[in-house]
Amino acid sequence: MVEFAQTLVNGLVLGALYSLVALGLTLIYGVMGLANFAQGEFAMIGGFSAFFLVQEGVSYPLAVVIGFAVAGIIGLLVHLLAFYPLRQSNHINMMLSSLGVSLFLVNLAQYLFSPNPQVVKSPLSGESFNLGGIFISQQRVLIVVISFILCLATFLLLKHTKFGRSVQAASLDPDTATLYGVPTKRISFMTFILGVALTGIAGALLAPVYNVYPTMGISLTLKAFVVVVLGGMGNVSGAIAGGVIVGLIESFAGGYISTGFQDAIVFTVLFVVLILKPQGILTKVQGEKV
Amino acid sequence: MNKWRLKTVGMCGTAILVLSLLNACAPPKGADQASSSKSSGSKEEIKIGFVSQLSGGGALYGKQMENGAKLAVDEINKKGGILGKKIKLIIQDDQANPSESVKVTQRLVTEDRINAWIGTLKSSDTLTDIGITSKQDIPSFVPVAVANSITESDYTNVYRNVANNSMQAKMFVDYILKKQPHKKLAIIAENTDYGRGLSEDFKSFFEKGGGEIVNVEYYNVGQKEFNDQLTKIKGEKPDGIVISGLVAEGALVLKQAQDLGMKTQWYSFGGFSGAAPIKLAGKAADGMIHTEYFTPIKGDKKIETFVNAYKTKFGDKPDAYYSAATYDAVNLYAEGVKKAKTLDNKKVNDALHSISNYQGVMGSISFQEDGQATTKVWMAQIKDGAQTVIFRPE
Repeated sequence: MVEFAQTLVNGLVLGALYSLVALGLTLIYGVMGLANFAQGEFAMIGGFSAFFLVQEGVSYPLAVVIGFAVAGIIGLLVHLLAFYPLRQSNHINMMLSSLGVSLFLVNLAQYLFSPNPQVVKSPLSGESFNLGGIFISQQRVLIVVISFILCLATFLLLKHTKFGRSVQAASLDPDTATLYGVPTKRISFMTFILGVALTGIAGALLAPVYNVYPTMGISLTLKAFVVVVLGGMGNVSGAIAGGVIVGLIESFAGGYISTGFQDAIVFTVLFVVLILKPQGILTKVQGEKV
Repeated sequence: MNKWRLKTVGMCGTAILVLSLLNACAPPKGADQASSSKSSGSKEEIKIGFVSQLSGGGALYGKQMENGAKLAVDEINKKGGILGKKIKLIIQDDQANPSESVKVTQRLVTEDRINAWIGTLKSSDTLTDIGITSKQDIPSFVPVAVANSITESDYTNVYRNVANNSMQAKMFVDYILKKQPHKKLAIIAENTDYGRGLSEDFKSFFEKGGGEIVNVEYYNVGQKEFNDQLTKIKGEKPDGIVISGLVAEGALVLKQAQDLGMKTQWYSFGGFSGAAPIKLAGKAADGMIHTEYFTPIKGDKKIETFVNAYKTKFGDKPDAYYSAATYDAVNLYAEGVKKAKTLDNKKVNDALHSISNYQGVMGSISFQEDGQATTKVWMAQIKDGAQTVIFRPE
């Protein structure tokens, strides 16, 4: 029973983390139509900036906030250099460009910071809550709480602000939105920056649990894509639910089937969803827009 | 619009699949390919080809191998070389990628016409590479990769101056059963030939010796999340846990086990040598016992000389076997050439097989017929943030 509960908790925590990374990915996809394969690298950027800041004596919470900003600023540069020039071209080109950005950032980090893993100390490192035999590390609780807050904030931002409504309009139909006076170019800039900065925070939060190293983002990108495809590309609540679902599948597949096939099982679920419900499990089928 | 979306989703699916296949491979860097010593007239040189991972995740170890080789070559050249010829080290980065490794080895053999080959960090790469060097009978040294199969392939030109997986697992099991109270262990293993091979050997020896392995869990290279594996192991309540893998993931295993409130005796293999586990896992690594090929201990003259020379040349202390083993490998080749008094591959191979009780930095080395050296492993324990040797064979 304790083992079941522990597996459940493990899955939920993992899910919260996946949701946060997938949230950024799905926002960007929704507005720009860009399947951003460099998403995980922004977690790496957030992680490394937290590492260097903590090393310089900055307190960890502040380092997380600055990680958000650093990822956002680098996101702005990346958008200007790699995506803005391609805005008129095919979306497949943008996707390829993002793959290039991913490789570039990984190699740049290896060159600048060496490929070795680095340890980030958080005041919560090594501390755990013990709830009747179910253990959960305090850093993970922090990840869940912040992930929840950020997901909720993003959700409210999209629903209840002018910026949010513009984002929704631009994501539904950019041309018509432009005709109605929505500054779609600016909106796409801002969404990209927000999207990667959210992932930057995820990286800074993850750093004390997973260590930071240049290739840390690659597997995050993959998992985030599974989440986003599962929840529906561009669908914010889908990303949040998808994250939790993937976290749980992974945890229970490892706990009750085989840890050796854990990832294989997650990807099998992805294939099944792609075949049966390619628009994502939470997206209702829309009619062809004219 | 909708149709287009579906298409992109499909594309993404394919791309994810491709990426997940690529995930294990470190991206190329392409640096660090310069050769170490000056290249003057090619005829009068002895060329040693060196292949290892010098970019990506394992570069940390590949670099140490490279340093060990450079140090040995420089020392030999300073003394006038072998048979009056200087050694030239030709360094190649294989990115721990089997196809890249074959490519650079092929180039070393056909273009550079090397006299000896040393490599690599990974057993799978080494296995494919020695297939190439053995066609020309080029003396090939394997100082680091420890898969059993490397010296079981009937090649007469392959030498390994470090204990293989089986030897290591056997000696470790003997030590645990004799000197430690733990009879019921669990294994968490890297899902590769290295991790699986080691864990299978350990399991069979341990069970033969009367111990019990309650479960074996696997993880992938580069994995960050181990809670699922650990939760399962925790449920079995073993006396101790063996990590059959390397330190990058192993350190996270230790940390996450601590977060899960697990207090147990940890065991692991050569990957936990040096300062890396202490730096990466901190207090969570305390008490771990692991096998060890080399530790820069004081009081042994050969080791002290090596450590000091290394420190003078590269600035930091060699804290694991990677550099020492590669240093020994270069010197063993030099010893073989000196004995054979020629560079002829066949004669050098004969001479190498006849080496017995060569005193290297890592101890006494004699090659068996299959090229495997009869060496012993040490046992070390991490105590209060430092590596301590707790057992050293005579």
